[in-house]
This record gives sequence, C-alpha cells and structure tokens, in this order.
Amino acid sequence: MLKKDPNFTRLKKLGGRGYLGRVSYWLGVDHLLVVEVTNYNERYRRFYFRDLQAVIVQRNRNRMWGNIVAGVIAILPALGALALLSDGEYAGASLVGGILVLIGIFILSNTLRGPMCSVHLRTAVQTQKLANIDRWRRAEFLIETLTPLIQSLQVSAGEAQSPNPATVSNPPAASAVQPDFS
Amino acid sequence: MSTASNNVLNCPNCGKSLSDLPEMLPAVERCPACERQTRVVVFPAFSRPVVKGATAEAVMMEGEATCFYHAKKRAQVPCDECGRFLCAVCDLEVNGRHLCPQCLETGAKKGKVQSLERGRFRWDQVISTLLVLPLISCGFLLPLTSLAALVLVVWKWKSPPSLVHNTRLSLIVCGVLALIEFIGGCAFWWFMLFGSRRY
Ligand SMILES: [Zn+2]
Ligand SMILES: [Zn+2]
Ligand SMILES: [Zn+2]
Repeated sequence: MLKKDPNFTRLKKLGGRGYLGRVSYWLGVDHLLVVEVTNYNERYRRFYFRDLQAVIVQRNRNRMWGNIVAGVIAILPALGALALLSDGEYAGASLVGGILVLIGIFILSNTLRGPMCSVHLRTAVQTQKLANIDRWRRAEFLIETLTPLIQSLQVSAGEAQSPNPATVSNPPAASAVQPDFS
Repeated sequence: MSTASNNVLNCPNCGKSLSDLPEMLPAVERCPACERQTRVVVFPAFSRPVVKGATAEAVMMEGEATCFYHAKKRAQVPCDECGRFLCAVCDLEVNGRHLCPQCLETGAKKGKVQSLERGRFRWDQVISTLLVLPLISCGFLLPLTSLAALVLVVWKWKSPPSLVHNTRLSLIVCGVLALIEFIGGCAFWWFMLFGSRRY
C-alpha cells in the first residue's frame, strides 16, 4: 500500500470524490502518481518530474454555473414555503425551509471555496488534465509543491548534460530495488 | 488528451497559442483568444530539445561483447533481470534498472515493474457488490451469491491488492459477511422448504 510506502507522500489537499470516482494524489521520489478509483478499477497515472514541461491552470465559470443551478432549484421550494406560510402551515413551511437552508449552505460554501479551474500537465508527448483539482487554491498548492521538485531535478539534469551510458566492463551500481507494494 | 508541438503552449480551452514568445509564458494572465484567466508555470524541460533515441554502436573489434539480440552491436549493459548483454537500443531503463525488452514485457505483465503498471482490478469491490446487492434486491439468491463471494475471496486472495485501500482487510471482512449471509440464506430456505411443513 502507498500509505505505508516511505517513498510516497499523499497530497491530502488534492483529489477526493468526484464524478470520475475517487482520486488521490501521491508524491513519489521522482514522479507524481495519480490514482483514480472508478467502478471496480484502479488506474495509475504517473507524471515524471524530469518530463514535465509546464503546468497550466485555467479559471472556468463552473462556480458561477453551480450557484445559478442551485438558485434555480431553490425557486420552487421557496415559492412552496411562501404558499405554506400564507396558509399558516408552519410545520410544512419549516420542512421546506430546511431544504432551502441546505441549498443556501451549498451556495455559501461553493462561493467561499474560491474560483474553479482546470489543471493541465504538459509533457513532450501529451497534455493531460488532472482529475478533481477544480479549485484555484488547490491548483496553487499543487504548483507550490511540484515546482521546487521539478526545478531542482531538471536544473541538475541540465548541468550534467553529458549522458554517461554504463558499459559492460563497468556495470551500473546496484540498481535500486523495486519497492514491494503488496 | 492532445499532442503537444514543440515550444508552443496552447490554451486548453480554445486551443489557440497562449503566447508567441515562449519566454513570455510565465507572464501570461489571460488567454489572448478566449480571455480566460490562466496561470502558466514553465519548467526547463519545456525549452529543451527533444532527445533523439539512442543508436547502437557497431562492433569495431573482434571479440568485443555484443548484444544478445543484435550480434553486430556492441553491448553496453547487462539486463538487471536476466543478465543478457544489451546494446543501446535494447537497453530499456526503468526506475534506474536496465532491462531487456523481454524482461520488461514479462515484468509489466506480472505487475513486477510497478512503475509500468497502468491499473489494477478491484476484486474487493466486486465481492462487496455481490454481498450487498442481493440483500436489497433478491434475498432468496443469498446462498448462491454469498457462496460466489466466498469463492472469490479465496480465489483472489493473492491477486495484486489496491495501492490506496487495504484490500486484505476488506477481503477478510467480506469473507466473514459472506459466511454469515450463506448461513442465513440457507436457514431461510431450510425454513421455507421444511419448517412450514411441520405445522
Ligand atoms: Zn483560450
Ligand atoms: Zn532481461
Ligand atoms: Zn540490441
């Protein structure tokens, strides 16, 4: 399990449950591992720090649309509550009022969690959207976490430009043993 | 998913270039075309030229070690798994390990080379479904479904567990539940078939 693997740290601020399933983000020694659990399947995406070229965060209007949809949904119960109140049906009105409060809480938290966005990671061969990182603040956290790791790795790799292919007479040092994930 | 052309970064929303000058990308605040607020962080790899694949060196001298797969190419490293000599083309580096194409393939198939694994099947979720679904839909099938769940628990005990979930614990819990459901289901049928006849 990744939780018990010293080579991986979970980025708890990222991921969570979304329409794609449950997504979790793990920081490995040399890559970012994204685990997407959908129905009966666990999918792994790996983004190696040495390959990452850019992170693109783009704001979208999903927060606004979410609030609009919630507002529209609230219209009917609001009218119902008013009708019940005018009829003196206070028990029914408070019940419908409860639904309105729930919708209100959703709109409030949706607003307070900040603007929504999409995050894309670009490598030389593809541009991949990251699942379940949909708030600007979370995206900033991802950038702050990844940037120093990627920079230090790519800068040191750039300095040691000369590739040194190991030869048979001089075999590579004991290769890193694959961690066992069972 | 889209392929990226070199040194141009396109807006994920509208597909237009975010900036004609690569060095101006970190200063981008909005997509010039669709005007969406955008933040770009560019890393050194972005401006690095694409590395061409390695080419194998031909053997110059008689008696030099040669690649197992290419008798005329000079060997560079031994495979860390099987020890065969490999040329630059056959040497596949995975997590600092040098592997030959064959070991890489078998390793990926067996799930031994973890970084090549693209996913795992979650048998524990299938078994949980098998235990829960009949309870709320067709309880009379319980003896059958719980038996199937029990068989799956034993059969899939050693299959690669989830990386993010304690699969073994789930399987133990599922096994116990399956046993209870099996006994309960059988008792139900026993009562239906023989219990009512006595009265
Ligand atoms: Zn655009
Ligand atoms: Zn081999
Ligand atoms: Zn070869």
